[in-house]
Amino acid sequence: MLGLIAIAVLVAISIPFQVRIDDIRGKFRSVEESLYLSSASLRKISLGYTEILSDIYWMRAIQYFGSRKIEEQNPDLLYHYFDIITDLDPRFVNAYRYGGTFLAEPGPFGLGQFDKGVALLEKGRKNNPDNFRLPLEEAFLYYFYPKDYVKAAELFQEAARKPGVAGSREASVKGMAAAALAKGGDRELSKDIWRIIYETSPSEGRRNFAFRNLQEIETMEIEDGLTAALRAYRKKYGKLPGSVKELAAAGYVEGGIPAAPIGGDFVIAPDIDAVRNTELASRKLKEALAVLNAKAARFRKMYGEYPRDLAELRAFVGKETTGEFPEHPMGEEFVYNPASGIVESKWKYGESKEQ
Amino acid sequence: MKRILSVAHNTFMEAIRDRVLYSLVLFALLMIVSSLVFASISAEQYNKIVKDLGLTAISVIGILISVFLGIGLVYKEVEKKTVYNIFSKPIRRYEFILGKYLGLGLTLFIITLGMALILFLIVLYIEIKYAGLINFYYGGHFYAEFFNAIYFEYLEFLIVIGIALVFSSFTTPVMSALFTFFVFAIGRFSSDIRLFAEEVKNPVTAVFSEAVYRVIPNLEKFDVRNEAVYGGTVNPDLVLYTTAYAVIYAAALLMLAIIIFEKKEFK
Repeated sequence: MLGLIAIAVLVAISIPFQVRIDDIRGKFRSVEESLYLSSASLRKISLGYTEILSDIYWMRAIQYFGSRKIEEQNPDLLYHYFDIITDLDPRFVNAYRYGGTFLAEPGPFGLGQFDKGVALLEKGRKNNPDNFRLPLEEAFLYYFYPKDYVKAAELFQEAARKPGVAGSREASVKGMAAAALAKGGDRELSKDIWRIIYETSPSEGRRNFAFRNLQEIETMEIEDGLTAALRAYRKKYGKLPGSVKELAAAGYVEGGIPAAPIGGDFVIAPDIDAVRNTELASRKLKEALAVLNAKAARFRKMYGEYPRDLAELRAFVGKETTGEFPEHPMGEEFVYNPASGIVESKWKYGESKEQ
Repeated sequence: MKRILSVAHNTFMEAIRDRVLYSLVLFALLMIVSSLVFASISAEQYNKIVKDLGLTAISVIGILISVFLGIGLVYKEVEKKTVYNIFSKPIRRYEFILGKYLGLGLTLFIITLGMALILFLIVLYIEIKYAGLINFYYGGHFYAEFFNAIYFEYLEFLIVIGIALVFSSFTTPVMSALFTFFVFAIGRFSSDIRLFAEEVKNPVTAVFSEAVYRVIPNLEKFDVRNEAVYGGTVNPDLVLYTTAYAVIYAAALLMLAIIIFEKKEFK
């Protein structure tokens, strides 16, 4: 009995010494330091049980990054973490996806290290050549951040070719590629992809969607042709014509004004020296207003009040969200009410008269 | 055959009375059940964590049982001099070795089966609860691959028992444990030796490395735990060839143990 008490006393006495040792060592050791082990040495230590080691690192990574503010996090460490996790378990697709996205996305969502994030996703694509989610994720990153629509379209197309993509999903991914190409300026390829979807998709809804996109691109092509004619007219006469009919009457539009595939009229948007289709402009305006009103509401959620003016809303959208500030399709300024946070447009489809 | 079975039966009965066995199995079950806790903090990687942790627990504990019970199989009988009683009966030395091996093999079979069923129930619970999420992330449930991973783990145990038995027939338990562990570790990194053989320019070293690679137990071949999570290359041919490899290698180890044991002189 006395012996047991003596042991308990000795252990109790040792505790303050341990605390002191922890205090001293704590000054010299950081969490980061203890984590910097190479995956090769970890592989050896694991004796072949690499998956469990990868899981342990996965959970530690989540806890480490979940417990710190974005600005306190170390992107090199995050990359190192996910590099180790995916070296130990190269098929752990979600590690590439989460790590890559978190690294690449700018604040407040991620660490803004685009190259590192993409490097991780590229490693994942190399190790998992049949997986469609990795090129898809990378395509979104290229689409949203450097806005490299050509590269994004290339990755969307790569994702659509992977064996894991089911029929309907394949059409969606192809649609994303087409949309990225249209946005990047390659309308011909974009039209080809929408045409393939229109001709091959088993879903009627998807066929209708592809048809609608085809019509929109064709309408945009007519807009471009008429805009070029308008600018040639202005160059010659030093002023804009009164209407597109006047433009045609002056002989600038061969074969007359064509009918728009999506309906509506072609009108002159004097603020941007361009010809626009009313139906297409109306669709784009509807999308733009929905986006801007949602962003204003989000601003309020984050800062407790609506943006003071459009400039503040524009800065918020550009810096703190994944989207971009949409331009008014007719080139006008949006009308903004800071009290209600509502963004509107002076131009409305229907009120616009054929000029 | 009857005599072999009789030794196997005794070995089995002795093994299941061993406290070490119970504590190891209890530890494995604790690890398997705790996988549920770890899965809950894994950012939706539920099935991966449960399968990885569970399958690793079964493998680690199975290997430990194979080593720690395997090294005592022969040595204990010699040390306690009970081997004289056994050989006073009409039992040949090779029958003794085979019986010992079968007894421990059976013990591990029952333990592995028990642990596998408990793990499977937990896996099933997770896979049903998060079916949509798991399908989305992993593209399937891979139950066949899961059981195949456990079967391959059991084949690995049979080889490790054989290695322990060889060492147990001529050296002390401590040395047997060390030697068995080293051979196990080398076997787990057999592909490194193969890579070395492919890389070296010197033909003599290359042939030697290749020979070493072919002779040491290629324990890496029994690791298909990754496929239990992601699906993959486990097909009937692989199962057949891996089983054949395990059986042939275990037979070779048993023959070596018998040869050593036959030459052993008891004072």
